[in-house]
Amino acid sequence: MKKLMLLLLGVCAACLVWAGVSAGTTWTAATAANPVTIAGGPWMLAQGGPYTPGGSSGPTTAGGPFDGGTPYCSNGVPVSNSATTVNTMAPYYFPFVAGSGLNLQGYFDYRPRNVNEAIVAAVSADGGQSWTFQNQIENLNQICPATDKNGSGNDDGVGHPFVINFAGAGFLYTLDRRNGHVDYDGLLVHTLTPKAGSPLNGMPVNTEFGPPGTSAIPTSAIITQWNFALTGGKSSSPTPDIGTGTATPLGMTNSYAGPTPGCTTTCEYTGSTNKDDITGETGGTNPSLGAMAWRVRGAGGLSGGKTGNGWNTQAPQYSQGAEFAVSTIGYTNIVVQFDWYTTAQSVRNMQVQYTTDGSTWNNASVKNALGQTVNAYFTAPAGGAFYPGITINFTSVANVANNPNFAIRMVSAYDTSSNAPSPATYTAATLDDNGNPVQINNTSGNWQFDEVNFLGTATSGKPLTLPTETVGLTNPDGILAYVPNSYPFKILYVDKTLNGDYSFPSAQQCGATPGGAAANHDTEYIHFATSTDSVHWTDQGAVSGLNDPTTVSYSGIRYMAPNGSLVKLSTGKWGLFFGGGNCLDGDSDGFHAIMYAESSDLVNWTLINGINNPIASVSSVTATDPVTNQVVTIPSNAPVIGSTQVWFSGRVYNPNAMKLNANTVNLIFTGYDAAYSGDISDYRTIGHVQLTIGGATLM
Amino acid sequence: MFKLLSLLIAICVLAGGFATPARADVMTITGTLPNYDGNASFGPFPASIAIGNFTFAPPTGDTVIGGTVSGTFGNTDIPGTTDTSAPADLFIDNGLIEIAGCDDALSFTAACDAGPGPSPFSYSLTPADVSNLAGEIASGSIDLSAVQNSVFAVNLGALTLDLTVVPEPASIALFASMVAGLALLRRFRIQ
Repeated sequence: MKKLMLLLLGVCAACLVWAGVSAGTTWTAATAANPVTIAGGPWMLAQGGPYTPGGSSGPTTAGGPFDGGTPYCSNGVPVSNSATTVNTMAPYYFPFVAGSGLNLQGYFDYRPRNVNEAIVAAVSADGGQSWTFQNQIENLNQICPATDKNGSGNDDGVGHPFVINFAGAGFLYTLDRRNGHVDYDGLLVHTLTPKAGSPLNGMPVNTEFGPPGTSAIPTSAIITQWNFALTGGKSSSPTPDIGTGTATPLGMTNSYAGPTPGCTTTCEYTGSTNKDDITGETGGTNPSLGAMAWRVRGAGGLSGGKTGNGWNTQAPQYSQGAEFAVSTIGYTNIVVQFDWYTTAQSVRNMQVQYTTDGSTWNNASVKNALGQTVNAYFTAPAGGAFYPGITINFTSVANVANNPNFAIRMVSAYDTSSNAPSPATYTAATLDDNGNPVQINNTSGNWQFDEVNFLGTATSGKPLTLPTETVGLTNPDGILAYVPNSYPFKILYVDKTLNGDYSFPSAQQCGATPGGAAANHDTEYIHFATSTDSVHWTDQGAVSGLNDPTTVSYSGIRYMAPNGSLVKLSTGKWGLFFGGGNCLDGDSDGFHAIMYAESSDLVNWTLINGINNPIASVSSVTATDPVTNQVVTIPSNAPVIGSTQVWFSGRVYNPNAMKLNANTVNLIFTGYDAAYSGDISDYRTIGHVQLTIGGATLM
Repeated sequence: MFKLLSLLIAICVLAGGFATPARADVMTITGTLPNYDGNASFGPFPASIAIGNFTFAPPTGDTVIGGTVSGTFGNTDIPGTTDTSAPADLFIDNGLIEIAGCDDALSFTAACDAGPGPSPFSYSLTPADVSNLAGEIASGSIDLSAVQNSVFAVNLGALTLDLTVVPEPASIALFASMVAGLALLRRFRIQ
């Protein structure tokens, strides 16, 4: 009997142990969530007060970086606060935090709206509750805002900082946010050369994508430059601002009737006369609010002169656009860079060509993010905008160096995308409501060019060094997590395709949000990748169990944000903290909730804290779910960290879980006020909360 | 006469007292180096790195009988980055005396390159080491170098050289004369 009792007790004990292992990990909040502070560094939102918000949804009517209590600039220069100036850490977001215990090193995306973007390093001695500024690098510009909202300004620089640390070294990855480059080019890679107190020692103060002389490109590398800055009024064949060369519009004087192609009667115009000029246009490589660009178009005007706008569907492919000719005598390693601006109704696609004999034109080629050589064929940003810093590297192309007859052309090309009209034709930069290209209207639209640089190395000089980008990652939006102490490096990253879901069945495309905001059509997949040298990556494919790029359920996870974090558990599993969202948000940035999942192999994941039982959430939403047609409230359970606070009611993401001890993490994350679109007093705030683990311990 | 003799002896005793160390036992002479934050490297390996020189006041008139070189692989300069180190071996005496090593193979499992924080090392100088370092000790400067054996960055911290020093025989003679002087003085007083 006694033996039987002992046996039963043993079985029961085993069952309890098994149940404990199977019960899964739980997280509880050990502290309240609070915004953190930073001592010193660039201008902070609190310095722009007092603000006068215009109500629960804005807009702000007073206060900000222009005329707030302490403006963004002093004497025409952005302020740099001493360590005695301490405020809530805003506008900062996308934290990346390294270290353990109380001593943490942080790298942050500093981004005052429409004013600037930079990477900031700061250090904490209290587990992330307060920070002290150290470095600010990669500034998009050093200009001052013209108004508090600074509508004509730009904050699309480099962001999403992520650092891979291993064996004493650090590698900083950032996202190039410029039109045409974002979520298409590889991530920028820098090897850190830290010194005590200066983790970003040696990194460029200004963005590497600014005008030569302010960026990674020295002025000594310029053979010829057109920046159009000093040329006002109308001008054809504008002269260079540095060096010599010629700029010529192509095909704007013609006899194409229109607007209907091939019309012979009741045509609104018959032919076109070139009328290129210089016009003001901001948002390109030149950060100045007074930047100018060269506009290529016909005279236009339907009344009286009956002249076309120049650009026309009857023009043979590659016959309309612009040509720049520069002798490269005395130079090798030739690189051409330029900004391309498209209006809403201009031709959507451009082919770059080159000649080495002055008469034979060849299509140029470029390397894509996967390291493949592809045609230098470019697509305008949807709706038309600047596509800055298009770079064609002719280093390995025969007969380009030391050649008096070298020239390039930027010419209109037919749209070759799968959903373009047939037969092939020119389409417009603005797509239709279903994301499909439409034929240009033959009456309006033009191209503009700025910051045209022919670069090279004087014979026997040092070759030009362009910024290093990852090779092998597909449309990277950023790194989601690095597997600690792994070498070869192992990462999870976000593969994001802008407007990628138009090819999905309509039932798998988001509709408008419950609040009436437009649907988002981006697609995201989470991939696993490895590297031995931090630059060249081998993509191991998509993982499963985290997000479903096709779900339209308000309880699903369609989108995920970079800058999550991994923790190693005593169960042998990995835990992943991440930000995510879905069609509720009208945005693919993955900011609806902070969630948590686990995996044994980093490829197959099990969601533990999803969107309905999250670690943290934006304000709850009640709406009819598109899949079930039932009214749902998201989240259906209280978040782990408690009720949503105003400062993260609009966005909550980028969770960095830093081990304090075997049972506790300090979680550093990003929050936005729900009214941030109109209220500029509260957005991009860094927050902190402490979480305790149950069901396992931290390794 | 007696008084004059007593005064002379007292002067000798005092002189001996000033010339003699407060304690006639070992001393420590210390030299330090600032934290070293290396640059990330992908090779080729092995690669030599000059870290710096421990500088100190040369122990003139004293004998070095030993010492230690200590520090950490990794340091606290940049949490998460510099708190580990690439695999490396450390040397003094122009690469002739190896004082520490960390994970020569590309395994990245040692505390120095994969641990949560700086990993300490300590090396005790042997009599042969002291003998070989005689010239450097006399000049007040001993070099520290590294050989990096694998990828990434060598980071070092709390680099300290402690030399154990004992007084020279001349010092002992002065001490002995002080003791003799005291004994003589006492004898005269008794007489």
